[in-house]
Amino acid sequence: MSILLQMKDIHKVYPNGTAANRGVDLTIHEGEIHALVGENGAGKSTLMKIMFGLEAPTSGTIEYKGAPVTFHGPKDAIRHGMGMVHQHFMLAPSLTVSENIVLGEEPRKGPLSLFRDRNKESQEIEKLIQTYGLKVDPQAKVETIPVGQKQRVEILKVLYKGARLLILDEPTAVLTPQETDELFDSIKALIKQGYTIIFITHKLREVMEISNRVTVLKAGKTIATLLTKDTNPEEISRLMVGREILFRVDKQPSVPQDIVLSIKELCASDDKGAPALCGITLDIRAGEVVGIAGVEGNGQTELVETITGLRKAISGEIRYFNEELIGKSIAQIRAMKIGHVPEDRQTTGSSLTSTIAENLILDHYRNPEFKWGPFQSKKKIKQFTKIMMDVYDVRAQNEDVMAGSLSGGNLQKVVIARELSKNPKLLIASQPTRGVDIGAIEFIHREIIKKRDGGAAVLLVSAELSEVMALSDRIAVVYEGEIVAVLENSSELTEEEIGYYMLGLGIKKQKEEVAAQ
Amino acid sequence: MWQSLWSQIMDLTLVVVMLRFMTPILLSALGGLISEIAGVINIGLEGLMLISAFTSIAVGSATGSWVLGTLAGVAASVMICYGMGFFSIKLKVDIIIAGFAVNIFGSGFTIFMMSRIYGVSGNYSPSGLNNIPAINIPFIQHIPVLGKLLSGHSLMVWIALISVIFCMLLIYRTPYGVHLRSVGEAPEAAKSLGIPVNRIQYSALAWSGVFAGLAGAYLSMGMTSMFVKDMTAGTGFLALAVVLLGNRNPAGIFFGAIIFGLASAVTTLVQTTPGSPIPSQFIQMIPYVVTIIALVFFAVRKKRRRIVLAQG
Repeated sequence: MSILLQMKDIHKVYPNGTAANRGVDLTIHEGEIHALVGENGAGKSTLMKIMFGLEAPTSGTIEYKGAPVTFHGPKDAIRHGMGMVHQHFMLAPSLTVSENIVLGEEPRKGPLSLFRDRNKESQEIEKLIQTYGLKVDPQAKVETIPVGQKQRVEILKVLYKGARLLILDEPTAVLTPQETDELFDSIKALIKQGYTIIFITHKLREVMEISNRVTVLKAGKTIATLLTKDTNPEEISRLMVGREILFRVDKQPSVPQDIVLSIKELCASDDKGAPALCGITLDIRAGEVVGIAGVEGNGQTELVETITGLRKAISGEIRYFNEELIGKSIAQIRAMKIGHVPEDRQTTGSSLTSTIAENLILDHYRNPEFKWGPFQSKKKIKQFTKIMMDVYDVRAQNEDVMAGSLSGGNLQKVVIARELSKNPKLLIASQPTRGVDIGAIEFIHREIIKKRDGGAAVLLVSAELSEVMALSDRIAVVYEGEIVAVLENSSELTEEEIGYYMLGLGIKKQKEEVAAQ
Repeated sequence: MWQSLWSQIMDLTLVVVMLRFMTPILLSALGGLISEIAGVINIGLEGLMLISAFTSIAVGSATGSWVLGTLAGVAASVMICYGMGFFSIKLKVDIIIAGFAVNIFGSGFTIFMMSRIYGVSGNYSPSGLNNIPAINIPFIQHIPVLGKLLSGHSLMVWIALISVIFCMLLIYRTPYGVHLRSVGEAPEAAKSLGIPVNRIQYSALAWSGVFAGLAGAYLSMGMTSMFVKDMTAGTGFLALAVVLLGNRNPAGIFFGAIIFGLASAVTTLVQTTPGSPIPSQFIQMIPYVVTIIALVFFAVRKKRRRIVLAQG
């Protein structure tokens, strides 16, 4: 098989300093289905954007059909015969299927004509549909067809543009199992006709089922490229989540006391109304850290939001010292000494256009300690802020600096300071160290452990498995909205074991065992 | 009074008057439509019409040519639209705010220029102005009913009617039209296919300038022969209502414009009929009451359709 596309030593550093790709090598053979796997944040999307000309690499080379190429935009990539099916559909809902397919390259009545040739359009589309068996009604408006068909429209769109190399970005994320099977049939049909497909996913079952080769990315680097038939899901998952940075946190064994938070059979749906949590049952005791591990998007966000009152629960109960939290307002919940470090410090965690001082008293500004009669006391707030900035090591010129101008680490310390300074009995920390520097990470970890030792119950959610393992006393693994395992954290527990549950393999195995019995 | 009104309906005066009122609404609504479709709804139609009305009558009376006058009005209107595009597309100012600015500017600027150039403050009516001509169709003009129905209308009435067909072809039968719609609805999708989103939006605003410009020229050089301060009196906003009511397509807009034209025509006829027992203030409310009723109707229908979609 000849090499179709070769990306060598690709680096991409964004202007804000995030290094999304730190040396990626990818070789695509003609006529293969190449799976690209990695956790969220491993650099898959960035790599695809570079491949498709949406982003320029900081360094590295791309060779297409043996010749070096530079893509200045998607048009260049399309011209070279590449086509991308985006994870989020790029379709205009009120246009017809056929209008969406030809969009940008409409057939005209003669080379100089201003008018669309609708006969030619429908003939060509009919031919495409017949050739590839991608059944869809060309005259239907896109807004009226189901998701699976929308995806076919996306695929037809790139085929119409003459693509020979198709990039499918998590194509099965929105599909039902039946639709997935149909998609796989179409993919197999395309391969028979000589097309090449790059298949991005983090579902290992699909990798094993359909790909010829698989490349694993982790933390912006290529870890390995393997022949699918020579590997197994366990090996891939080990490569995907394998340990890299070691977090070292000095802590004593925990001394769990009474139950602080007790969640029973909790269900909630995501923003689109699809079920995101089903039957979550979990107890958290005073003096212990319970970590939630899982591939992002498996219900972690919804779980935190439901406990803190940001999201409505459908059923189940959340008891905090025997008091029901469901139905209480966010302010009421916050007043009950529950601290919440939200996963996104910029949108939920802070007000970027307010000062550090204002951010620090955001949820308790009514407190008499900041008041002078009916008015806010600037002096008292300033005093408080000064102490907080000192204790939590917030580095800024003074307390009137806008939160938006702080670096990620410093802003996170402001959020941490606000949530920890109220001495919570329950601390919910979601991605507490995402995107902050090593020094700040260590500081935040120490503070969280300090709270635990002071008798607080801590619920920690992190996409960084090593962080969960470093801090937690118990680890609950979520997969597709369910807790699939609760593991005692000990030195014997390995990332591989957790990774196994994170990827849903645990459930499969259980089912197989049941079937075997 | 009823008798005289009835006779005017019977002898087709109502239709003739309706066409006169419909023309500026229809033209500016088509302009609003194209901008709306491309996702840059131009609510500055009112201001654009005023600027065009003033520019065209000023140039028209100075040169003695209605053609030059109209072209100047359209050019001025298009220029302002490019300015709107610069602010909203390039500098990312909210398009609604840009539209309001144009409305305020249009009203103030035309009054200011009128007093600076002509030294008058209320209205400017040049003598010997060459108006946009009426089209008298030979033979047909002498046939009793058909003559009154088809002949003797201003050229701009016909341009407005042809514009409806023009817009239908533009939006549905050309690649450009598909691009307009995709840009308005899914700009990311359009961009991913290499469609120049910004350029398309500029062009959509320019089209709205062309149509609002034609409407403005007709106000000062067709419907009347003068410029009166704030002479649009809400026509631009009626046009926006028509865009929504017409379900974002040219044929719908045509019918919407007829309804509003009819309301205005009835208003005028009742007002000019001697011995009307209804206070004139109430009569003058008719077009605006129709607007409210129409928008309520639109909202109800939309809601019902959404329910049907959800059930289906």
